[in-house]
Amino acid sequence: MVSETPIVTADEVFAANNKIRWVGLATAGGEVILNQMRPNVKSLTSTEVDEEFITLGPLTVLGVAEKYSEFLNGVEDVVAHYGLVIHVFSRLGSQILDVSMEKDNEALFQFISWLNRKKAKLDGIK
Amino acid sequence: MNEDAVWDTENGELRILGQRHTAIDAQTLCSHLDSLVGLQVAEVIMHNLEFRLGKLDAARIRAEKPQASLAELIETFAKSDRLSGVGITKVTLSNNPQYLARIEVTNPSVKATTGAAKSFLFGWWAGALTALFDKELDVKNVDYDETRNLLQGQIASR
Repeated sequence: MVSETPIVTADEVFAANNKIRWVGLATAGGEVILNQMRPNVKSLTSTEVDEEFITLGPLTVLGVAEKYSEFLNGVEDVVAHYGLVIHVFSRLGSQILDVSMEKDNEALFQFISWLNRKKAKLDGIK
Repeated sequence: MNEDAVWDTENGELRILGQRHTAIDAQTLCSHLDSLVGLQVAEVIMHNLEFRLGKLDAARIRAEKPQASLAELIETFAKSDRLSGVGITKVTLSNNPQYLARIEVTNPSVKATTGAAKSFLFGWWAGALTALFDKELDVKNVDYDETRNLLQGQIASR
């Protein structure tokens, strides 16, 4: 893990919605800042697998999606519906956020709303 | 070719310093990766690969040459660049606290100062010197001098 200050804390993300299971955060250079399960929630993957994934996974997914940015006014987030969980990938300030949550569309909508408010707040303090 | 580079055409093998390689068009690979995921992400993906390879290669070569000095190991690495067609690499260790080493590659196989090509040349060195000096290093201040056909960059602490 690197010493770069997280743009958001794990507690702040967990508080956004109680269906959120895990939060990962990396720098734009792929260095892991956060890799944290919600307390008392059992992980479906190992910490090592999570660490490796955060390094390049969200960044690559967003990079591919951003190919359309110039035509479609940017990428707000990318959502992956896995069999067991949902992952949300998004840039947050200069960092890359990856959140895993239970398969609950209402929770997903609430979290994305929270994410958009968080981004607007960050844009406001630039 | 000398003993450090073996091109075994009968078996379709190219080995450089004992490690099997495959000759590819590096500039096209880098340009394609840039176009797929954008310059910034391509740079990170290639850095992740090359940094890891640099660390592994440096550890392997140091284990094979336990008596070699630091300067000799770095010269071996630079020779590996020449043998694999990367270009003519010169490494200068620095007394400047801002960076540990300056890497200069004359006639580089890729020429860009951003995107995958930047990491293709310098990410490996950041990894190799990280292994040798046991400190986390990164690539900084990459610059291309067109008149001298020289790509240069610094390896510095993160």
